[in-house]
Formats: sequence, C-alpha cells, structure tokens
Amino acid sequence: MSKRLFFAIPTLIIISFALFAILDLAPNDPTSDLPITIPPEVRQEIRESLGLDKPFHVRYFKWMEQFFINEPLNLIEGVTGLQIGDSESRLRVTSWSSYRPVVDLIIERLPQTLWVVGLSYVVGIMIALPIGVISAFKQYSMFDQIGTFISMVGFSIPTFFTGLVMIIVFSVWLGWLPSTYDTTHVVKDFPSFWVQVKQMIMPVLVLAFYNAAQLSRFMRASVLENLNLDYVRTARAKGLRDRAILLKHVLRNSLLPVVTMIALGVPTIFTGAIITEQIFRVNGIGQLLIAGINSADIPLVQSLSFLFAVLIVTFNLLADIIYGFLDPRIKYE
Amino acid sequence: MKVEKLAQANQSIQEAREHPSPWMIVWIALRNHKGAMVGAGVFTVIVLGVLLGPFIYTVDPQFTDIEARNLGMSWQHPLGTDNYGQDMLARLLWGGRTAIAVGFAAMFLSLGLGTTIGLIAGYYKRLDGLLMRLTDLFLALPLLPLLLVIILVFREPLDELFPGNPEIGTFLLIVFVIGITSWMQTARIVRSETLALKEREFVLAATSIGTSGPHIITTHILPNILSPIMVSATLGVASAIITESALSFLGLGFPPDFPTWGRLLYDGANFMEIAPARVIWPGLAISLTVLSVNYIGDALRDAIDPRVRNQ
Amino acid sequence: MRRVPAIVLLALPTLFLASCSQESTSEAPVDAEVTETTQDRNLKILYWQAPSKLNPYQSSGTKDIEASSIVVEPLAHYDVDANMVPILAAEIPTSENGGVAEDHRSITWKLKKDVLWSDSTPLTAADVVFTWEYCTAEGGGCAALNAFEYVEQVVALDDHTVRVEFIKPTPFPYGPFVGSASPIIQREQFKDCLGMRANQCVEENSFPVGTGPYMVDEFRAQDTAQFRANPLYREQGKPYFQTVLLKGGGDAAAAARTVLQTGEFDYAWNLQVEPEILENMRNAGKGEILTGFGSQVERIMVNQTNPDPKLDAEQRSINIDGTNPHPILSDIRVRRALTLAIDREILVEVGYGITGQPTCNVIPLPEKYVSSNNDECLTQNLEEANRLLDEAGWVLGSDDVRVKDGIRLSLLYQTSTNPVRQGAQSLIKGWWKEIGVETELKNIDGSVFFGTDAASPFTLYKFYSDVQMYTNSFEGNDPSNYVEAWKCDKAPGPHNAWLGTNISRGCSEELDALLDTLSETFDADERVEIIKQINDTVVQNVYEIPLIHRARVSARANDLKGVVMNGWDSELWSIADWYRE
Repeated sequence: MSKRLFFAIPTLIIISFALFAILDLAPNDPTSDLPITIPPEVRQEIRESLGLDKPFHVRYFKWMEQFFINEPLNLIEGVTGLQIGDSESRLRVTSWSSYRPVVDLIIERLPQTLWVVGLSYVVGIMIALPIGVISAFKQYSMFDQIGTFISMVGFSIPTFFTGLVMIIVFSVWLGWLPSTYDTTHVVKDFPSFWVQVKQMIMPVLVLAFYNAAQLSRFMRASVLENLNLDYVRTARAKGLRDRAILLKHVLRNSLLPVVTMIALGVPTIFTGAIITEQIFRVNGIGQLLIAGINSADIPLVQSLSFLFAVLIVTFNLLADIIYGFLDPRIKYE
Repeated sequence: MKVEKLAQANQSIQEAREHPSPWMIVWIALRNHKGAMVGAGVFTVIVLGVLLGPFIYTVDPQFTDIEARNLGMSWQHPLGTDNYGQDMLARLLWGGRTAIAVGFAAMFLSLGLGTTIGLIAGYYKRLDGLLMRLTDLFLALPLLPLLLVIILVFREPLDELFPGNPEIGTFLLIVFVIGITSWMQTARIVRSETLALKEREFVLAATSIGTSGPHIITTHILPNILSPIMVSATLGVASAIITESALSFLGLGFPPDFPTWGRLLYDGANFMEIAPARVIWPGLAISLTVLSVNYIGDALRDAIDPRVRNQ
Repeated sequence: MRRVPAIVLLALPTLFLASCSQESTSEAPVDAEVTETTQDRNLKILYWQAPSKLNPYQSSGTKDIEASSIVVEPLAHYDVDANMVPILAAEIPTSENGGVAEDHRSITWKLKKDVLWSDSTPLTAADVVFTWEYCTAEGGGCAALNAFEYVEQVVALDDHTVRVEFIKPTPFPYGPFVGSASPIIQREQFKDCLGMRANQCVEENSFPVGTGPYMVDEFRAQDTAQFRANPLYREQGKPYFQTVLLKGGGDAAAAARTVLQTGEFDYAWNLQVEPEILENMRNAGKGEILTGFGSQVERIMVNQTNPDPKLDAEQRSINIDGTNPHPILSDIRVRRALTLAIDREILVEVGYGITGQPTCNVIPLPEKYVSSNNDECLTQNLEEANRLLDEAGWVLGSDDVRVKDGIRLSLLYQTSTNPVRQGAQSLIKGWWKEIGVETELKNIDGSVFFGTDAASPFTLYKFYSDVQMYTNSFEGNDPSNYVEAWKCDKAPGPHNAWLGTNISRGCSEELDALLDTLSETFDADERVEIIKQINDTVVQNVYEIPLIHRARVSARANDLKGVVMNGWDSELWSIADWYRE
C-alpha cells in the first residue's frame, strides 16, 4: 500500500510537468477574443501584462509554488480561520481571462457540477445494480435480452445526441422543461425546489442513462462470474434455493469489483461531464475547462487538468484500499 | 538440428493445447449469439457501404449547389441536401469512411501499443514495474482535456506538413491522440494473460530448450491471447468512433468543410427542427456502427470467458 | 362507508387551503404580489459568451465591454445612426459651442451636475482625469489604450469641467471617454489599481461602482452576473426593472432558442446563426430578431507580398519596399477578376439572411462616408473576369486552371474556423473555379488566427497565404483612425513585431498622399470627401475585396419594450429605458 502511495507523488509531478509543457506550446492567444478594433500594439501590451514574456522554467516554478504551497495555505486559512504568515501578499494562480484566482473559480463552479453529475451518478448506480443482477440471474431471458439491448444503446449513442433530442422534445415541442440550467437559483420553498428539479431532470437523466448502461453490464458480468463458481454449485447441489444463494452469497461477492468500479468513476463527478454541461448550460467545471481552452486561459486549464489528475490518482488509491478492505484475500505488498 | 527439435516441440505443444484457434472462437461466439450475428451483419453492411458507396454514388460531397438547399429526400438527392446544397448521402458515405478509418486506425495503434507493452511487462519481470508505473501514469491523465489541448497545440503545425490536405494532418493527429490515450486497459489485460501463460507447460518447455524470449512471445504467447485482444479491439473501434464525434461536437475535430459523422451531426444539430434527417442519419450511422461493434465484442467476451458462458 | 374516501379526497385540498389562508391571512397577498412583481421586474439576458469581468479596461472580449456598460457609463454614447448623445456630459462639445479648440489640440467636456456614483458620492472631473491615468499607467494592459494614443494630458478645470489635450492637432477629438469601451470609472475605488496592479484588483474589476441604471449584486466570472436597480440613478422613474440577470453559456443557436422559442430569456445577444434557423425560430412567435448595422464588413484581404513558404521569416509576406511582390496578385487585372467573379447576393442569402447586405465598400456606414463609385461589383460578371485574366496573359490549361509562365493560377485562401465562413469559402472557391482559378482552402482556429503572438505563423497579421477573409470594423462613428491603417509603412513585419495594421500590404503613392492630406485637413466636409476617396482607392486597387456589410443580430422577447438595437455602441446602451409591457 505504502508503495503505491510512494509512486503517486512522482506520477503527479511528471503529470504536472507534462501538462504545463504541452499547454505552453499552445499557439492560442489570450487577446484573440478582443474586438478587432483594438490595435495589435495594445494587444501586445496586454500579453506582457499577463507575464507571457517570461521564460518557461520561471513560469513553471512560479506555478508550482502557487499551486502546491500558496493555494493549500489559503485553503487551510479559509477553513480554520488561522493566519499563516503574510497571506495578503501571497501570489495565487490567477485566470488570465477573469483575473480571478483559479481556485475561487473552481469552488464557485463545484456546486452545480456536484449536484448534476453526482446525482446522475447515484441515479445511474441505483438503476444499474438491480438490472445487472436480474439480467445475470436470468441470463438469456427476455428481461436480459431487453436489458442488454438498452444498455448497449445507452453507451453506443453519444450523449450530445440524446441531449439534443431531449431538448427538442421536452423544451421546444412540449415546453415542459427548461433548456438552460440556472446556477443562481436558490431553493427556499417547495415551488423553488420544483424549479430546481425541473432544471436538473434532463442533464441528470442523460448522464444517468449513460452511467447506468455501463455499470449494469459490469454488474451482470460480475454476477455471472460468481454464479459459475464452485461455491454456488455446491450450494445448489446442497439444495439451497436460487433466491437464497443469490441474496446470501452471490450478491455480496459480485458487488466487490463493482464497488471498486464505482470508486474509480468518482473523479468524473468532479471533472464534470464536459459535453453534457455544454449542452444544458450547466456552467460547471467541465464548461469552465472548455471556456478556458477556447479563450487560451492557460493558468486555468493547467490547474484544472492537474486537479483532475490528482483526483484520479487519489480515487485509484481509494479503490485499492476499498478492495483490500472488502476482500481480505487481496494483499498489497 | 535445433530447428527440427523446435518444430517437434512446437507440434506437440500445438496438439496438447486445448484452446481452439481464435478465429474459431469468433465464429462460435457469433454463431451462438443472435445479437452478435445481427451486429456483424449490420457492421459489414456499413463498412462495405462506406467503402464501395462512393464508387457507386459518385456525387462530390463538397459540391455546393445554391439552387438546391435544404431539400428533402428525392431521387436526385436520396437523403436530401444541407444548407449549402451539398448532397447528404454523399457526405454521409464520405463521412463514414473517415469515421471508420479513424476507428480502425486508432484501434490498431492503441492495440499495438497496449499489446506490446503488456507482453513485455508480463514476460520480462525486470521491466514489469517500470511499464506498469507508466500505465498507471497514463491512466491518471485527464483524457478529454488532454485530447482537446493536444489537438489545439498541434493541429496547425501538422496542417503545414500536408499543404492542401489539412484533413490528413487532423486525421493523423486524432488517431494518434486517441491511440496513445486508450492503450492502458489492453496492456493490463495482456500482461495478466501473459503472466498466466508464462507458467504453462508448453511455454516452460519452449524456454527449457532455449527458445529466445521474443520468439516465445510471438509464437507461443501471442497466438494464445488473441481472444482478449480481439475483445479490446472491438471496444477500441467503438470508443474511437465516439471520441472522434465528440471532438467534432466540441469543434475540435476535422475542419468544418470536411465531412465526418460527428461533424455532420454537429452541423445538423441546429437544423434538427427544419430538417430532422440531418441529425437522424448521421446519429443513426454512429449509433448503429458502435452498437453493432459492441454487440460483437460482447459476444466475444462471453465466448472466451468460460465462466460467463451458459450455465 | 364506501363514500368516505371520496369525501376525504374532496375535503383534503379544501382543508389544506383553509388552514393555509387562516395561518397567513395577513401575509399571503403581500407575498404573492411581491413574487409576481419580482418575476415581472426581473430582466433575463443571455450572453452566450459570458463576461469574465465587468471592467471594460481589463476586457478580454466584447462581452465584457457590453456587460459592464450596464454599470459604468462614458461621457457620450453613439446612437443608432452613429450620432453622439451626451450621457455623463452635459452636451457634446463642438467647434460651434467652443468645446473643441480652434487649433484642434484640445476638447473641453462639461459634466452633468448632480450625477452620483452608486455609493452616493458625486461624480467629478477628478474621476475623468483618473480614468485617463488608469488606462495609460505603465503595465496595466489597458484594452482602450488606443483611444488615448494621442492624448498629452487630461486636466480638470473645475469640478465639472475637463479638458483633454492632444499632442498634435486632432480632427476627431472624440476618441477618449466616448462609447462603451472607454467609460468613466470611480477614482475612489480604483486608485490602488494602477499599472501592474490593475489585474490583481479582482474585487474592483468584478464589482465596479458606476453611475449607470443598475449595479452589480453578484458576479460569477464566465457564468452569471446579477444586477439590481441603482436607486441613485439620475433619471427619475428609471430603470424599470428591479433586477437584471445576465447569464452565459452554450452557443449562439441555443441562445436564440431561449428567447425565440422557449421564452426563458428576454434578450439574447450575438446570434450569428444560419439564416434558415433564425427564421424558423422566429416563426414560433415569441420574440423578435433585432439587427443593428455598424461598420462591420466581411472582406477578403489580398496579399500584395510574396507568401511563398520557401522564403524565410524576413521575407515571407513582408513588404520590402515593393521588391517582394506577390507573383500572381501583384497584377491588378487578376485582383479585379477575383472580385468580379463573386456573387455577393448569394453569399448573403446562404450565410447571413437579414443580418447582412452585399457591399462594395470597406466603409459601409455612416451614410455620409458611403461611396457609390464601386457598386459595379454588386453584380457578378464572370465574362468580364475571364476577359481580364485572358488579357493578363493567363491561359486556360488542360485541367481548367489558368497558367502563365509556368505558374499555375492557384491561391491559398485562409480564414477562421466558423461554419458560415467555411460555407462562403466553398462558394467562392466554386466561382473562382469558373474563371480558371484554383483555390486551396484553409481554416484556422479563431483563438489563433485573431491572436497577435509573433511566434505563431497562423495569425492574420503574419498572413502566410494568398488571400484571407475576416470581418473588420472601426470604433466610433469616425473612420479617421481606421483609414490610417492603410499607410504603406504600417505593413506588418519584423520591424514592428508583426503588429502592423496594413494587412494586405498594399502600397500606393496615391493612397499615402491622400492619407497625408487627410491629416492636415480639418474641414469636416473636405474630410468626408477624402475618406471616400481613400475607400475608393483601397477598393479599386483591390487590396481588399469587401463582401458583406454585417449587422449585429440579437433577439428580444415580445413583451420587452424600449430596446433600441445599436450597431455602433454597446447593445445594452439603452438598458435604462427597457421595460416590460
């Protein structure tokens, strides 16, 4: 276990360097969105005021310092209320297009991403698990065939296609649901809660369908695998009822890999569903990233994608720990 | 002398092996799996259609006919035209070529990388740790942002390398990017299969008579792990096609004047209400292709994994 | 017994209602009224490119300038016909009323009295002076710097009078403080945000104190901005709305849909969508499409220097005193043939609809500057185009491409990535093919093409192609500064780090002479004549091929009144007058 932890740190450092280097090569220009009437000399001035003329290593180490030392310190201060050193003059990673600290931007975007993507993940799991179990237990039955077909369709049709079709049907033709997500909406009573539900239905469903499709296939395979193991045969031979076998033994054992799978998928909740956020205008983390890429907001894109990497590594570790915890046979050297 | 011995050993190994040939597995899997049969049929039709279609239906997909904009289905334009009067059927056929070419090329690249790395890591214990750390590293990369950024960085310089054919540069770039970001699962599977095979009698036998490592890998191990590789291959094709269309949807795929299914869907999205066909055809094409490939992959997986096979 | 459930069912809602009304007899009606009016008095605007800050001087795009125009105001705005209307100024200074000095070296503005900032401090001349200091401070990266280019200093004569002094006689002294790109900001708030510190003032750049009809309540960069009515706004009874929500995200088509089809928003900005789609959405009957014509002209730049990739960076697409001419396009007959072969009507019909008009001028408005000498190009003339090419010695080869001295008449045509532009590209390619010109199309991501990174070979300034297409326009209602761009020595090159403005690199003594005369002429009518001649020279020399006079296009909901679409200033310039019917 500690060995894995030990490798995580160099991995992250390599990733941070690679991301920084690749982004540094990007030919984008943060001044390209300015009105064309602004002459090129003025654009040059703006570029210089962003520090674009500094050499690569200077910018990289500056970013490292800001990201790994200054930002965590700020977070600690924010949470505990303590004052550590000179927090006023501490430089922060700042977005080029809004001049705001990247971390603040991310915190501002997190709620809607967590709500929409997180909820869709939960809904997806709740749909997927029973379907997967029943499909496996009644392999090749009508239920299994239909379930298989639907989940195949689920991960074969791109989310931007399903999303667009839903907007046309439910917002344009029927007028039941809003096509945009209002991030400023505050839930304070039942009607406003209902508004919140309505604006979340479509993005959540589109994503949940996609998640459920993949997970139910995985669950089905896992149960099938267990059903064919010797202990099930023994149990059957002993005359135990199918239902009892399923509930008592198979289910528990086949959930093991699925739980790991679910843990591995958690980072996607934070990274946001870029395409779905784009379609329904849930201005969350995914949309922030796309906006950053389009406006050449290098510090923002660097920090965001690195944060994604941190999440992935962390949850990989977590998945390992969960697996080891649930299945005592697995031991890490 | 040595060669003879080797051949003998080989033969006995062949006989001793209880595995049927991978192609047999594919055939058995498909034959027993209705969905897979249909899938294989649909996929063959689509591939043949986009390969041969443009020879039969010779309309230029780039030709703009201002008089014939936004038309519905007709004999002259079987699938209608778009808002520049370009023929939709021609665009769909050409777009399919690109989509399927991207799908296969990216799959081969990712499979090649994954298999090589998996084999080496599984066979040579010395390299195992290093290669698996590399795999973990790639798994930790945030893929979609990375894809977007790489395309942004390298598209223009690549265009310069192929003056007059910007789509070649984009094609290589997209294939490369999808390929190098999707080989990790294959590598893991191949490695674990290799680790298991390494302990089997026929491999031990070959090693004991002094067969070289690369030779064992290519003649003994590789043929025996073809089945899981084929499963990865089907999944690879499917996900590459979807990734390409997603990139096109975010405006970072092929140039706008170059038809691909993803691009057609993206361009047609706004016209959904005026001309639903512009969304439905490319959407169906993508979905059907991916669906049929996934069905084949599913059947293969069932077939090679005896534990999942019918009780 | 059986009937009980029915009774219960019937009675339940009544009971519920009764208990509710009993509980809150005094509150309920008030509450209902409040919610109704807040709904009613909430204006929802969709800017699909969301603002990233509300300080136009730190702007990273038009979206920021427009969004901040709700809060901060300039001395004067441009109206629909490009005339100036006083906003914070009491009147527009002219030579007649003595506001513009005889020698054209200064202009004196009188501020309206009793204008208050939203923090209830008075607006004074010191704020105007400070705005100039703020924008010109070293290292501030001010986006409106060009407005202050020739300003020597700004002095406060008294609390409500400022004089802007120029380093040379300036025929058009209205650059600084006019239009939404250079509004007055509050000295008290920004005094510690000068120079290098400008972009660290996050709080100030997000919540500027203004004199406008609304003030910032909440600001989420690139997502939403919430405004509420400014109680200290100088005009009685305005603004009508209590709150304004400015939301971002999505794309132009989705934005149009929210106003025209679903009615979720009252106003949506910048709807560059295919004409059929806009038309179809309008048919839903929920809103109206607004167009505002300004100075935007989509045009093709014709490279007058040699862009051969074999040349090095010191030569490729560089004007070296005319010794590096384009091998094909230096012949005016070829250039004329190219413009004659284009059918502008069709370009408009396919790509722009009501949001564009064919044009043959690079200065399409204001009316007084519009030349009628070039209208010949409005009708496509393939015959004449072919004749010109024949005359120039280009002979049709076997593959239908013209050849001369072993050179094929083949052009590389680049533009930014955008469906409408790619559509126009392929149409034009088709027409040029009919006159034996081969065209190779290339498109470059807008974030690269419109950038100024001197290291990138793909910017419009580098112009590493034979022709390129994009939209250019000028600020304000006076093209004086804009025509300066065509000076021969303003061609981009290593000497000016490729930051020149004469993109086509066209050089003619005639043009330079006209520009010199212009800078010495102060008579308004004479200036108009000279500017018209400059327009004609550029167009007739075919350094640029004007194609389409483009409008800004937005949409408003049917019940939103008082909107006046403006092609010359921020679209939200008249937001104080907006109301719901």
